[in-house]
Amino acid sequence: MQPDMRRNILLELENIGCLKHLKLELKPGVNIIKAPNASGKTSLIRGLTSMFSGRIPPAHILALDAAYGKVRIQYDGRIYERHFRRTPTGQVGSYGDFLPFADHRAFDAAVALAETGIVHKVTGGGKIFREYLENLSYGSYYSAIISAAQELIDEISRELAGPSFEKFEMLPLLLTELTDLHIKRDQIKEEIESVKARHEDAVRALAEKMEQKKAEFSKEEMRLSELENSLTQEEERERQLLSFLEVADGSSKVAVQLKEGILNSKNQQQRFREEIARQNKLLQNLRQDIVKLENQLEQKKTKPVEGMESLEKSLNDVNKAIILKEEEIQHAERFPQNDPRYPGRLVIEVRKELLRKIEWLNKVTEHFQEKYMRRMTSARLRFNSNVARAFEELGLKRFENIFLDQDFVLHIVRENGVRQPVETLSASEKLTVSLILMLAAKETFLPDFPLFVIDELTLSYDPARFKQIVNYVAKRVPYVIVTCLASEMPSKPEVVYAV
Amino acid sequence: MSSWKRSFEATCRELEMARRKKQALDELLAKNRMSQPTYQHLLSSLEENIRHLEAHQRSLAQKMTKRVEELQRQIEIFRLLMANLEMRHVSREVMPETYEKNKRTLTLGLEATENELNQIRNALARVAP
Repeated sequence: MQPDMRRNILLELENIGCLKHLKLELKPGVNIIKAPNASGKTSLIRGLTSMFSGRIPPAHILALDAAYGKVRIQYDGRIYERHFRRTPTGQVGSYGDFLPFADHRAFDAAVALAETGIVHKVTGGGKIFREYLENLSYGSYYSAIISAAQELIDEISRELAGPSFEKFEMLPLLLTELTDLHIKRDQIKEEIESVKARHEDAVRALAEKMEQKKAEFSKEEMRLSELENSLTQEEERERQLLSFLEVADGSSKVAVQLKEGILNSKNQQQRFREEIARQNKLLQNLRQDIVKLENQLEQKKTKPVEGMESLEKSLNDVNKAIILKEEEIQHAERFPQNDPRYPGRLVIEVRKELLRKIEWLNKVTEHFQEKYMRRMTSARLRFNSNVARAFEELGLKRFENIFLDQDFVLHIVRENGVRQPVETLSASEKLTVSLILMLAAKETFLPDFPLFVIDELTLSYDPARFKQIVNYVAKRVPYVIVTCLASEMPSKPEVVYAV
Repeated sequence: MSSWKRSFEATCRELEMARRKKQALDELLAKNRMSQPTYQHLLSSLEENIRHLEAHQRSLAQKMTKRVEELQRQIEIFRLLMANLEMRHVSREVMPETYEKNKRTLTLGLEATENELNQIRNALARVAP
């Protein structure tokens, strides 16, 4: 059957890697590009890759000594060109077309390079494939959104731990301190009232005592007056008795009785005088007591109350502390006026806004986390299924099962059920596993991508196994491009078409 | 009893403190030292705390009231036992040594129960005088 020439890919490279100029025609089926070492096989692959993926930096594609290079592809009746240009500063930029089936993921799922990607990972003993499947299934977009949301949450959380919020969080403690001050103030006030009451009681008691003394003094004064009257009366009696005696017969019984009466009167007078003297003494003492009490009362009334000064000072101090604490509370509830983000705003309001943002971001995270999990689980299961199918169809009996677990760790189970770590596989087994993983990835995520490139991986392969794998790939992909060392030494890469 | 009493007294103190805080908060608002939103924020947590303490206090008071009833029953039993002992002593049914020993024991028990009852009643009287 005549091949459809329109479907052939005409590839032309100019100043790409070590290739000055090269024209190749890639046909549907297996295209084996043979060339010796350092003759441009990898440059050719890089040039071709640049037409469907921007993963290789332009500076790695353009020839080192060239200011300009080009990749030109004729495909399906159309021409696609990509240009590489070196700027005077030495940087290389690229511009132009991509092939219509271009997809940046194809670099990971359809280009098997020994030094990069999944081949490099598996041969290096790598066994966790989360990131690989994330990129291919677009799960990385979800994880990027999740990590962006998480970063925002972290940033807001850091902001919420800032000094103004910290001060605001101290408000309950400040309120407790203020309440303690209020309690202290009330205690001092009570103590002041108590001291005042005690002082007034003391003044009252002193005044009452003085009144009692005065009453006693009046009473004793009356008694003195009575005594003086009694003495005067007794003196008068004595005078009367003496006048009677003068007229009486000196030897008569009457005279004797008068003399007795006079003697009695004298004695009585003497007693009165003594009593008056005592009474005077008593009154003098009472007078002194009254004067003393008057002085004491005066002193009590005029002198400051004992202990009151220090209590009033304490009350004053506590009142000042209350005012300071109130000011502290007032400052703690607002951002400073010179705050760059929320000048003078209430912390509670800003806090509410930020917490609402966190709540929303948490919902976003949850939503995308769910989507991410669903997508990644589905991607992993489809990937595992394609890997299993490839191993079954290739008849690789030495492996019972190869799969990624829910943590995206690669498990290799031997035919006897023994699990084998990736790093302990032989070189050719690692290569087989990596090629099959890549093919399964391509079938899972880029089923319509028409190219599959295997760059110089044949070194550690036996030809029969390699042919088996390449043929398996060719059944599923329209264009298979394989580079390998040439047995002769052609001057530049040449294509050998194979079935 | 002491742990009940401690717990009850601690709750009463905390409640008193929380009420004082609310008073201080009201003063701050009245003096214009605090904005309404901040006041509401602090008030809600304070009122929540007060509600919680009041509920705890009520629950403790209920338990203590039950304990009062229990202690009253215990006291009645002690008195009954004492009367019974006295009667047996009078009718010479018990040896004097046994009588003395039992009387001492019952008196100690009665005193301890009455003490506990008084302590609980005093504590309860502070909440609902």
